[in-house]
Amino acid sequence: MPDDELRGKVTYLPGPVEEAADRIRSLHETLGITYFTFIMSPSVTFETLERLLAALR
Amino acid sequence: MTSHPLRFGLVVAGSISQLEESARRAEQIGFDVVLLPDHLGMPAPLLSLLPMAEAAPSLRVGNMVLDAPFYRPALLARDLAAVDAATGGRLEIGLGAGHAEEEFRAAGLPFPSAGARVDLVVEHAVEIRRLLSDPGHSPAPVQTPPPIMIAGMGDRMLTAAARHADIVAFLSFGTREHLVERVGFFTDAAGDRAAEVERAFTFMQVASTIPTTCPSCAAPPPACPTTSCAGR
Repeated sequence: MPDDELRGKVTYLPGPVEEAADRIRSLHETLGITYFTFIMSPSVTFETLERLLAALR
Repeated sequence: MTSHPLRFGLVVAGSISQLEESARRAEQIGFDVVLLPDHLGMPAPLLSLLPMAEAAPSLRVGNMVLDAPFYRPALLARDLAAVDAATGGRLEIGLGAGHAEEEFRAAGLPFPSAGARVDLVVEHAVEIRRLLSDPGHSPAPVQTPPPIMIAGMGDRMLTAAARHADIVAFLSFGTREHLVERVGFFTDAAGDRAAEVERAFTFMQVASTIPTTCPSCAAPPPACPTTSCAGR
């Protein structure tokens, strides 16, 4: 799916790490989702994922 | 609401050495599961789990997700049991209906209708659970059976997950409202099972960034004294 189509989709996770963590927390608290998976791609770094997971743990 | 613990999975691809390195990094930064997709031109989805499991001994391994119509239940169950045994009981089975018609054609396989593909997912889930619950199954898995995840978003796939999955993965390509509606559909379909089935969601593209300054105090993250600083 092209990037411009992805924007606005719930499966697209943009923004600063803390904002992304808030979106994930919201899905957890409102929908009971407890298992979140991320597709590794050139647009994301392990450092970003590390910060994101640290914010959520 | 569910009582499952919060956990995180990373879907990776690449050469075997890249998969090993990705699994190591995922383990180091706090992931719980590493997963492989199932597409032609990408790593063999079950065989390639073994070096990943070896590289990251604390992680569980699985697929996001195996295309059920590529397989036959008894043969797939044999391979899943072997992977579960080889990884010391760390396998999580992932099943989906498949969508890439060109891959079926390239593999010389028929591309069944959407309804028939869902039926195949159900057949696989039921048969794999039955076979791998059997103490006489050979090879013997460690988990009897490993958990089964079903991924989808349509009514029939979510109904299949409601009836047959340990984990439901919502593959929503729509808005948040669409996901809310799909979770509601699943909850209704699952009835008494709703709380028992773990709920998963996949972010297809992560474009999140590490801020160069703290959003609350504007200090660079290493200097920010607040525990809520996004950069900490």
